[in-house]
Order: sequence, then structure tokens, then C-alpha cells
Amino acid sequence: MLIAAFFIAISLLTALLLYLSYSLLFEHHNTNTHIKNLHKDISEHDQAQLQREQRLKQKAYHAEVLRELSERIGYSLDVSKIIEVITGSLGEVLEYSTVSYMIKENNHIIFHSYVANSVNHQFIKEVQDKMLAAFSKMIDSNLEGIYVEEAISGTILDDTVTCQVNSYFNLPLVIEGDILGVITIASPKSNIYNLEKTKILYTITQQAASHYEKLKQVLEVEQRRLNAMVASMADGVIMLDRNLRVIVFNPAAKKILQLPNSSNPTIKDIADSLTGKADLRTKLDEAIRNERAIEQEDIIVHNHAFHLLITPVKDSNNTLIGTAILFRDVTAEKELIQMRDEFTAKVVHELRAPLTTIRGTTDMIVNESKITEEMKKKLLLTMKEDSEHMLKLVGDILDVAKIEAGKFQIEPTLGKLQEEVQKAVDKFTGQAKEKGVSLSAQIDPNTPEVSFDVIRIEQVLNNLISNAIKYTDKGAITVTVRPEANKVVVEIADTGAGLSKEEVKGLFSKFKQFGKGKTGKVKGTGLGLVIAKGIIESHSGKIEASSEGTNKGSVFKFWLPLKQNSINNETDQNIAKGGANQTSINK
Amino acid sequence: MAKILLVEDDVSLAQLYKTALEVDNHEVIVAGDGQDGIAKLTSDKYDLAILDIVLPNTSGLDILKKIRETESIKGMKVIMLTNYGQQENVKDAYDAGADDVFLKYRVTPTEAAEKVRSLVDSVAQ
Repeated sequence: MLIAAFFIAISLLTALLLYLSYSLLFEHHNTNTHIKNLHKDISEHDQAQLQREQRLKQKAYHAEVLRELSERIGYSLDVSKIIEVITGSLGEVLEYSTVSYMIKENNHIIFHSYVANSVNHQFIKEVQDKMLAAFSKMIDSNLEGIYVEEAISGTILDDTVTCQVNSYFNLPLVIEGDILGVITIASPKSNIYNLEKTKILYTITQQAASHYEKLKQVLEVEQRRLNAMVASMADGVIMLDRNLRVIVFNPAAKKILQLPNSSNPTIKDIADSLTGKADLRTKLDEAIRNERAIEQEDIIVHNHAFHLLITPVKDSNNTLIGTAILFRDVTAEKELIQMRDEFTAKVVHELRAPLTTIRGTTDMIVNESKITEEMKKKLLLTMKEDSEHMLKLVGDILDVAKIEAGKFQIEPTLGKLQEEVQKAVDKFTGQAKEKGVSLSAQIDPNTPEVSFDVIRIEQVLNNLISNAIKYTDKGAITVTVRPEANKVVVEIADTGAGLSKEEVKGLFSKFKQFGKGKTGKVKGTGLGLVIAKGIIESHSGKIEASSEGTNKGSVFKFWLPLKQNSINNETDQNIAKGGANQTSINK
Repeated sequence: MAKILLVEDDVSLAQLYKTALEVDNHEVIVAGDGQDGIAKLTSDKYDLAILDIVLPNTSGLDILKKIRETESIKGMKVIMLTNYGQQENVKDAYDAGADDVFLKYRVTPTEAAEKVRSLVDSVAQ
């Protein structure tokens, strides 16, 4: 019996190396003459025809493999999948009984054999042994006795068949210079493989390897991008692999959990740190078992509120590859919601209280026969004041809503701001005098004209000056107007109650101020400064408050820009910047 | 008829209650906040107190507790006033020993005056 065995180790780096390897490693007995004789038997015409068909088949095979590589592999760098694609339609171009591959994974060998024509167990064992020996040689490491994970597919093995390996060749799978595995084609027939035929497989394997390398590079770039993104995320991100090993633990997660072992935490460290807050283990199990995201709201970790999201991560083939745990800090949102709720409750109360009085008053006047005319008049006057206050309240709330929505409109015209300041000071002089406080204006005669909405700026001045009088019991209030670089500055300085640092912070926030204006003779809504800020910012100006502290007086200062474009670009400028208050809200 | 202390920071409502009670021949003294209320309680003698629960400085509930703890006035009739959305206050008020609790938006001053009258009458009997 002729024993033909081909042992080919082909380097995928260059075609030249292929031929060199061939000459060095090609092992066959008695085959060259046989091939020659075989060829002689075929007429030249038939041979040409056959060659044409063979070439077409090879082309079709190459095209099929490349198409499948891009379709089936996607972004997976699974070597066995690539080999399966290569060997899948190999039957079209090569005759064989088994096509097998062997790859090394961690501490064991994966051996997979596809059986095209029925062979016996001994045949497979023989192939496996030959592959192990060849693979050992290729990677220069003794693989004897290593655990082999075996998988056989295709036709059922049949031990009644008498056969042995008479022709075979090995092809190493080289990626980036490393031998990752070996592909072996085997047949009980003798002398059926030659250089030409092995070249078919070699070429496509080389193309697949290059495809794999390119994909790997793309994925590495993506991975680096993803890592950079995850690292810079404000959300805490933890990623686990299928065995619940922590593979990503971003800086935000470190900051959130403050684990003692924050450089290399295990899932146990993480789950333990959340004991009593979230049952992470159960949630992970649930997410993996049901293959869907699990959420938990309002977990408090180190005084911050978090929204927890546990989501299974799958690859392009919908296979679970791990789990992602996300911590989103919702503290600011929670605070904002709470402030909004409180604000709404306050608004309702502020509107309901005068309505209650108004209804009570009408009820008394209608139903109480013993009420005197004088009492009636007094009650009606109070009712009038209450309804006026309600109107003012509704107006202020609407103004604030417009400012927040960016729909607050002003109508600026070029004019003398100092004249408006003087008018406002004159208007309040009497009221200040009643309290024994002096009120005066200091106007720089060089103050140029500026573009402003007369009615709205008057509103701001009235608010600032009346506040100053309200909170000053002795001393003086000085209103200054002066030009500065590209702007006109108005400053209202008093010697009154002053403000703490905390109070200064909340002065322009509707949440902090609403309802605070109730004290004193004239009931305010507390929204005056919030609206003043909206008005000044609609003019592209700025308003700010400062104080040396409680009982040390305070200074309110605003400025309007001088630039011509503040007039020309009215449409851009006269819309209040919605959410301008947000900065103070989120403090 | 009776001397009543009304502690209420809403000036308009205080005026309305005062008028309604005065029409019923009561003498009404008004305090604008919790501390003022306590000061007036200690400096004078009243037959009945009407206390708003939410007050600046000291709350109405605290004043009520103080009344119930003070030997000389612990038996005084006390009516509490509360707002919409603060129903949980009602239970607290009764637990602290209130004789009645008025929801401001529900009870009109004339109805309030009637209830005050029946409370004052029950003491007189």
C-alpha cells in the first residue's frame, strides 16, 4: 500500500516563505511519479477544461469565504469561527474525508473535526495525533498529554468502515506572526493532495488572517476610544465578564463607591459595599437570567442619590459576554424636584390664603347681620389689598415663567439711564425719610446714553431701592450711576441688615426667595430679585449682590452694556436667557 | 363674653376672625407670631386660644404643648387652625390636646364663631 502523507507548514507571512517551507517540510513518499502518471492519463483538452472549471470553483470559493467572513464574523475575534468559515465550503474545491482544526486556548486544546465522508474513530484519532504532533512542532512546545476538548460534526463515524489516513496536509494559522492553530485536511485516499491544491487553502487562510488582523486593529482603536470615553464618564461604570470578573471599573465608580481596594476590586468588594442598599448579586443574576436590564432607583451611597442600571452585554451574535453596572448620580435632580415641589406647594398656599380670606369676608358680609358698616369697610379694604397682592403674585409668577422659558421680551430704546435712577430716588425719598434713612443719588455727569427698556428698568430700580429701605433702619442709602469700560453701572449701597454668604447665594433663586417678601408694610412676593435678574440679563447686562455680612449693609450692582450691537441685535439680546437662574438653583 | 387670644401670622385672616368673633361680643387679642403668642399668654389671662399651626418662630403646636404643660392654664380651650395639604397636622393637634381643629379653607369665620360660641358655652355650663 502506498502511503502518501503530506506535511506542510506554511508560513503566512510571505509567499516566498511558503515555497521555502514547502521544500523543507513537504513529506511524501512515492508521490511525484504517481501524480505525473495521473496527469498523463488525462487528455490535454480535458485537462484544459478541468483547469478552467477548477479555477472558477476556486474563485467562487474565495468569494464565498470572504463574503461569509464579513457577514458572519462581524466584530468577533473568534479564531474558531474564522476557521469554520474557511473550511465550511472547502468541499467545493478540495476532496477530503475530514477537515479539522486545532487551537490552543488557555490550558487546553480545542480540536474540531468536520467529517465529510464516513470514517471510523481510529481515523479521527490518527488525524488528532498527527495534528498534535505538528502543532507541537510549530509552536515548539510539547502538547502531549494536554487536555483536548473534542468536537466532531458532519457524517456519523462508522467503525465498520475500514480506513486510515493516507493523504493529509497541515496548514498553520498565523496571525500577527503567532501560530494560533492548525488546519488539517485528511483523506483515506492516497496521493490526492499536491502543491496546487494546498495553495487554494493557503491563499484563503492568508486572506482570512489579514482580515482578522485588520479587524483586530479596528477593534483595538475602538477599544481605546471606548476606554477613554468610559474613563471620562461622570457615571460610574463597572463591567463584568461572564465569570463576574471586574474588567472595567472607571474613575467615577471609584469615587462613588470609595472602596478600600479601589485599584483592583472584585465583585464581592462591590456587592458588599452596597449591602443594605442594593442586592447586587440578586440583581446581576436576574439581569443575566432574564437577559434584560434591571433598574433600581434612589440608592444612597455616601450621601449621594444614584440610579442603578444593571444590563447584560451581548456580542453581535446575541451571545452574553458580560454585564455592565451603571451608577448615575441623581442627587442634583432629586434636589431640584424637591425644590420644585416645595415651590409649587408655596405658590398654592400663597394663592389659597388670600382666596380663603376673600371668601370668608364675603360670607361674613352676606350672612352676618350684626356686622357694622365700619367693620364692613375695613374688611373690604383688606379684601382689596389681598386681591391686589394676588394679581401681583400671578404677574410675578408669569414673569419668572417667561424668563425661565426664554420668552421674556423687552423693548429697549436709547436713553439716559441716570434720569430713570434720579426719578426712582425722588419717588422713594419720602418713604426713606419716614424711616429716618437718607436716600441720595450720585450721578457721574459723563454717563453716556444706553439702550434699555424704560418700564422694566424702572421695575428693577423700584425693587432694589424699596428693598434697601425695607432692610435699612438707620444710616444711608446711596444710588450711584457711573460709566465703566463699555457699560453703565448702577449701584445701590445701604447701611442696613446686610446678608450672610448663604443668603447672597440664594438671592436670585425663586426657590429660595418665593414667599419671603411677606413681612413689612407692603407685601411682596419674594420674586422681585429673580425678575430683576431676568430683566438685566435680557439687556445682556449683569446683576450681583454683595455684603460684608449680617448687619454690615449690602450693595446691589447692575450694569448695562454700551455696545451698539445691543441695539442692533435686539432680537438676539432681548430674549432672557432661559435657565439663567439654574446656576443658583443647582448650588 | 370671652377673652380670646388669636395667634395668626396672616394679617388679613387674623382681621377677619377678629371681626367675626367681635361681632359675637368676644374680646380678641391678636399675636402675629409664636413668640408674641407665648408672651401674651404669660402676661394675661384668656378663656380660649386660637392658634395657627404654622407660625414664624414658635409653632402653634409648641404653644399648645406649653399650655397643656402649664398648671395655671392647662385646662384652657384651644382651637388649632391649619392649611390645605397639612392634614397630618390635624392628628398631631388632637394628640397634643386640641379641643377642635379648623381647616382654614373649609371653615368660614361665621362657622368658626359659632363653634367658638358652643365651646365657650360648654365651659360656662
